[in-house]
Amino acid sequence: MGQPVVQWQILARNPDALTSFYAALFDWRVNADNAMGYRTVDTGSDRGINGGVWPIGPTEGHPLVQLFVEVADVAASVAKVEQLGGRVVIPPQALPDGDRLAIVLDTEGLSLGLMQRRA
Amino acid sequence: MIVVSYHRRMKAHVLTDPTPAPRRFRQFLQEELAKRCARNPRYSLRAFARYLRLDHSTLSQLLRGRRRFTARTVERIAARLSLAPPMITQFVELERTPPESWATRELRQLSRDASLTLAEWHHPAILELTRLASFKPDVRWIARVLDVPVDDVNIAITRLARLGLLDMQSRTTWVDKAGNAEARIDGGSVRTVSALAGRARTLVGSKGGRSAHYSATTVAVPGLTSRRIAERVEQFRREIGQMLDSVDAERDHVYCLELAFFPVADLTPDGVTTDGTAGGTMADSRS
Repeated sequence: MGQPVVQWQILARNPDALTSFYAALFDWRVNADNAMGYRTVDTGSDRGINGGVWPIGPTEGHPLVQLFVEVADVAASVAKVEQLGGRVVIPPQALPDGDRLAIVLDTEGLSLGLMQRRA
Repeated sequence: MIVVSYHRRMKAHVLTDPTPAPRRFRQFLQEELAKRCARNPRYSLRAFARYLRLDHSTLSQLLRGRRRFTARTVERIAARLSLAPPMITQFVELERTPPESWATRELRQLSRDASLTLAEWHHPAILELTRLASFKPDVRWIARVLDVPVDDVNIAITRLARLGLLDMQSRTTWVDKAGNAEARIDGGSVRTVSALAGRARTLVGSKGGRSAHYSATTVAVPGLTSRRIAERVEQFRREIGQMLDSVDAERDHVYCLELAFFPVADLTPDGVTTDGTAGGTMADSRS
């Protein structure tokens, strides 16, 4: 099945303004009707990948884009990250929809999401 | 068409550098080269190297971070670019400082997380909510219960998970890993106190049936006793925690128990309390 990049995510200081911007620019559709209040972004195309927007606080750095890789076992992937010299920022967490997610840093210090779909 | 479903989405946050690191000389040169290239599409790294009187491969290595700048190189290039002396000094100083390591950056972020977690009342409130039988792992529910915007709840959840204080163990179970950890607030957390007071007023005002007990007194104390009093306050807080742990009943409310003991006036000479600590701070409330 491979381990594909399945989503992009923008960390934004003002998520509402940002999603309005992209909705106006590209006609992307935003929907936050879910248990995490997560702003999903549908580009409306069958090509490429969709994304989402997550808020950051005023002391939490600058806005940036993250990529998310789907893995079979998020805990095993996190262990491998550490073996390979990466760092764990947020250990595996179970999301209300049943997916599991961890945030890590690669060897360049870039953040990366690891996602395991619910069984 | 790809069907966008929530479970195909991920929610996360990342350790990022809260305050961008100061711009180093390498970045400054990269930006300078970019500006020149923007003004003149035919401008190149070689042209820039010629202007700076550097070998182009040397400049290339410097710009890519493969070679470190010496103070002398910075001064020479900066002079060629007619930079102001204070700016040159700043760049030279920065080159003498090694770039911040991951560990340092991480520590800095964790420290900020920790201070914000103590300073903003809804962080511990979220943790306490997870102990309720009626808890719903739904950010919209948490936001409604605490009367806090959804984004603020998500920012708080991110911090708590990053600090290891919150463990989202399953789709239905979130666990407060902080236990009854004490939140020591300091002088910078006045806004926490006022936010909690405002929250209490709202709740009491909107739901008169809720019980709220306020007890506050201001007393004159010999400075020497301040430490003993702080210890008693701490002991009382622990006793309440132990009492709650021993009660075998469903938890269905979240209350704030706030204990504060701090100096409001210092009559000792030079504003120094008799136990030698500076007056006018929370220092006397330490255990």
